[in-house]
Order: sequence, then C-alpha cells, then structure tokens
Amino acid sequence: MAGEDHQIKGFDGLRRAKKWLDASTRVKQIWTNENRGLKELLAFDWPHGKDFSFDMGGQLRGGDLEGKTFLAEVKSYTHEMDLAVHFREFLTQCYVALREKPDRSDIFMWISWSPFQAQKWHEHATALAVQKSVLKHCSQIFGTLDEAEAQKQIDPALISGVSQRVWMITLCDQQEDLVIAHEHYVHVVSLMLANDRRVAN
Amino acid sequence: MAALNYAYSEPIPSRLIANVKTAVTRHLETADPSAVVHHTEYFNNSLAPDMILQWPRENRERHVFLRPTSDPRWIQDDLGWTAPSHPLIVMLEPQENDNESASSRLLEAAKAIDTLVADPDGIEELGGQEGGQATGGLLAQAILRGGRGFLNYESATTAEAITANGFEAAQNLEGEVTGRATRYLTELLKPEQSGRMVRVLQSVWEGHGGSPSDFPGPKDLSGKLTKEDLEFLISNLSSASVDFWRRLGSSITVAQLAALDVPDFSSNLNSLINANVDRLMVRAMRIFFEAEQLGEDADRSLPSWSIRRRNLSLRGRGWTGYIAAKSVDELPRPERWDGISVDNLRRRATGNRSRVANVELDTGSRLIGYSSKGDADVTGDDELLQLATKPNTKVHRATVAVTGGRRLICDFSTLTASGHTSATFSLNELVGVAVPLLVAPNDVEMASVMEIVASPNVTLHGEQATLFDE
Repeated sequence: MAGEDHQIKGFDGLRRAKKWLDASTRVKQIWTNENRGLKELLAFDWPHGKDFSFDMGGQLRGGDLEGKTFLAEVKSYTHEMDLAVHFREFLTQCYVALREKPDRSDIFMWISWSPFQAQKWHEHATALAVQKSVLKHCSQIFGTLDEAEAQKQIDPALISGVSQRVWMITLCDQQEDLVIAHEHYVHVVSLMLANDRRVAN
Repeated sequence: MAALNYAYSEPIPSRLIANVKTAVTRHLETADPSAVVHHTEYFNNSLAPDMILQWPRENRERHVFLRPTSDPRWIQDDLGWTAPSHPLIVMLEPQENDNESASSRLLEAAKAIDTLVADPDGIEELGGQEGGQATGGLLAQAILRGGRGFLNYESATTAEAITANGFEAAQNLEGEVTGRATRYLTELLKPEQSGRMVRVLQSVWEGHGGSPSDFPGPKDLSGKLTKEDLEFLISNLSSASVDFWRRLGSSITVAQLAALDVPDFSSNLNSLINANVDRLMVRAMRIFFEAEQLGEDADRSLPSWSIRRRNLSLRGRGWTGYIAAKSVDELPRPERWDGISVDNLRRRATGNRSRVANVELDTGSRLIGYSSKGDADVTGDDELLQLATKPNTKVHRATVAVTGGRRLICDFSTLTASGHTSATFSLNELVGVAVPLLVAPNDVEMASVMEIVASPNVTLHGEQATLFDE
C-alpha cells in the first residue's frame, strides 16, 4: 500500500537524518517524534486548529552552536514532488513554534533528499517567503481567512526571526557516509567527552 | 519503571532528561553499589554516551547509552558506531513482542560485539535484589561490568535463578547444576567477568570440600576477584581448608582487604590472612591502646584480624595494631608517647630475639644515636646503659635489622613501625617485630602472636597452586 510505503520511508528518513546529524559530532541532545515521553517536546497547537509536530528536536554543541536548540522536519523524498507545499507549511509551523517556545527554536532544520524549485532556492526562506507562507495558513494561526486582517496580526519580528533561523539541508546517500570513519570512533568520542571528563574529575 | 513516567511529565527538556538519567542511575547504583554513575552532557546521541559507569577501585568504566525507544531498528543502527566501547544500551521502553525477528537479530548482533542491550524492566530487576540474595548481587555487578546480549525481565530472572541454583549446587558439590551455571555465565558475560564469576563459583566448590579437578567448568580462568567477590566468599564459605585460603590469597593485596566490608570478627577473614601472612606485603603498623569492649572476646580468641577504620588491623587484649598497605598516611593519626626505658627495650628485644642495630635516645634536651657497625644487636651493650643514666632518658626509636638488609624502625613516641622510604615487609615480619617491641604483650598473648606470624602450614602442589595465580 502506498500509505504503508510512505510510512516506512518516513521512518527510514528519520533514522538516516538523525544518524547523519549525530555523526556531525555537534549534537548534544536529540529526540524524535518516535520517542515516547519526548515526542511531546516536538508538539505544538495551531492557535486555531489541531496540533502538529516536528520530526526531531534537541540541542547542538560546540563553538558558536553551543547550546543552540533546534527543531527539524525530515522529508525523505528523493524527488521534488510536493516538497514546496510542505516547506511552506513548515515555515508557518516555525512561526508558531518561535512564538510559543522560543527556547526550543534557535534553529529550524529542513532536511530532505531532494531540492525543489531550485532556481529560486535562495528565496525560499526569505522574510517575504515566510510572510507569504504564514498568510497562506492564516486561518490556522489567526483564525481568519481575511488576509488583510491577518496582515495586521502578523508579528514582523517573528517573520524575520524564522527567516534567520531556517537551515535548508539537502542530503544525498553518499553524503550520509561522508562522516567520521568507524575506526576513528574511539578518538572522536574521547574528544566529545573531554569536557565531561574535566567536570567528572 | 514508574520513575520514568514521572520524568516524562517534566515540560522543560533539560530537566526531563536529567530526571530520566537520575531514574536509570538509581537502578544501576542499586544493582551495583560500587559503581559510580557520571552523567554526560549528551542525550540519545548515536556516538557519545549519556552516562558513564565507573568503578574507581578497578580503574574500569563502561559507557551507557540511553535510547528512548524499544524499536530494535534504532538500536541496531547505533551498534556500528558504539561497538568498540562494548557499551550498555538501555532502552527506555519495554520491548514489544511484535517484532521477534528484529529482536533476535539485535540479540545476536549485540552478543557478537560484547554489548548489552537492556530494557527498563531488566535493569530494574537487576537492582531489585531484596536482602540476602548475595549471588544476585554478584551477578548484577558482573552483568553491568561485562554482560552481553539482551536483558529484559525474563532473561534477568532466568540468569538470577540459574546462578543462585549453581551456587547452591556448588556448596553441595552437585556437578550437573553447577556445570549448567558455568556454561550459562560463560555465554552471558564477557570472558573477564564470566571468568571472575566462575572462579567465585569454583571457590565455593573447593571451599566446601570439592576437588579442583572435579569442578565442572573451565580451568584456565582469568579475571581478578573484586571486593564484592571477596566479601561474598568471606561471608559465605564454611569449612574451607588452609590450602584453599592460601590459593585464594595469591592474588590479593592488603589494600583490597582494607576496603572490605565484613563483620568485625570473621573467622574466614582470619583464615585468609593467617594462610597468607608470609606474603601479604605491607608498609607500616601503628599501635593504639584501645580498651577492650565488654564481651569482645566472647566469640573469638585474641589477637585476631579484622577491618577497622579502613585498615587491616590486629586486635589484641586492650590494643589494636593498624596496618598500612601502601603508606603510613593510611593509618589513624598517632597519639604521643614518652618512649620506654633502655631496660624495658632490652627486655622486650631479648624476649623477641630482635636484633636492634640502632637506638635513638631522648634525654629531654638532646637526642643521642647509638648504632652497631653491622646488624649486631646493641641492646645488651653496657655503653648504651651508660648513655641512658640521666633520669628521664627514654628510647625514642629502635631500628631492627630484618632479612635482606632492610631496617624496621620502631618509633616509641608514635608507636609506629615502618621502614625507610619505600621498604615493604611481609605481614608476619612486621607483626613479629613490632608487636613485641611496641606492645610488649604478656607471655600468653605473645605465644598467640608468634603462632599467627609463623609461616602457614600449607601443602600446595602443581595445579592447585596455580589456580588463583594471575
């Protein structure tokens, strides 16, 4: 069944995205919407609609990323399909997340295996794009279908905030393997634990 | 694990994670009180552990990965990374039975790389030993250190039952059930830990009169006995021979003994030390005159060995000799004494036949040193007596020549006997010199002390002698 296939693929994409993020060595804490007791940390309510959830969330580490929180949407599509539609919805969800839980919203990651509308790639997460997306979902956020009315309620700081926080990551299969080699695992982990060792001793 | 549900009710992520780690830590620490659990800054990362189990006394650690899932596919994904550290992976949800093939693949994969995957019920069961189940405690500690495969409630209870039955069977010298336990433990644990458990099992077998050659298990075992293993054996064995304690003692140090948590009087502890008194190496002994407690000698004959104030100690009538394994600093702080007269020293040394090669006298205002040219005893010298004619002149120190050119300095102002710098002495050397000179027990007690320091009467041969050697 198509739905089942989609689900398996979604699960697979989530695993692969998490694995790749972990292998970056810059993830401090991470959870997914598959985790009982933790998936609630990814769930939000549309102000005028049902709830929605991001796929992953957590906190990054090291350098400028130290302590930065993130929420991630994973689309394991290998073709463009309707990614643009999903992305617009994602921007809108980011707007809600930043408004409701700014402490979990330092970075919004969009992770997929296919680009979409590539000629306008650089415009996908501009403030204008975020604003248009929010207006497109104005009934769920502002409880009105009247764009002019919604426009009045939009918070420009949130629009700009979302625009600055979006990371668009397009993976390919080979890139997933282009991370630390297993034989270097012990050394990398000892480096990752160096700070903990200092605290422990 | 009810504590996990409580942890999940916390809405702030950092606190939620801290609560989850605390809940798991409680169970791990209950399962093995000698383990220290350190929390890292990570949570659910594929590479970096969430916690590190440490055993400071053994210079050992094991990474612990927490996984907020019971789906074997997630766990299997991470095994490729974490294999080199042979970690403990704790799933934070009980395993569901709807994916048996994936679960069995996970079990085999984990076992092959010496990794233990446990669900919360398995971990809880490990720490759930309610008093008296000494074998369960030993097993839990071995599993945390070197368990492999998959551990849930069922496999944990099975492991406990087989181990407990094995130990009971070893006491009764029943080969079949004992053998089943040795095979099971060998499968369940990495070689070092299974070796350790089987050695303890074998110790019980021999400690109850079984022949080493009849023991139904591997003979070429490695794996040092831990504090808990020793405590178990000391607390649980009966009718073990001197030979048995001698073999057990070949890999034991006084520092290990000093850390034991055993009753104030243990006949097995005394047997273990007396059987190894000539090869347990120590640095120093300090005497304290501590009053005898009412009824103290009711269940034992003095002097006897015990563990007091984190030192091995020899308790006599109204005195205690504390033994330092590695450094004088391990001993309780000394009290100050005036020293003894030269006459008194001469009597004590003569009775003990110690060769006192140097004496340091304290006249009150001056210290006078008096030495023989070699190792000859000076206590009979008239010149020494003449030096001590001034009233209140006391012997401050006496240096006794022992074998191998070593010197044991008995300090009468602190009642401490120790060597120069890094010199070590066998326990019987130290006690044999220090107690007569520093305590001067009466003849009856002195005879008992001499009995203790006499070399043990053992009859070790061939295979038996190597059994506990490292």
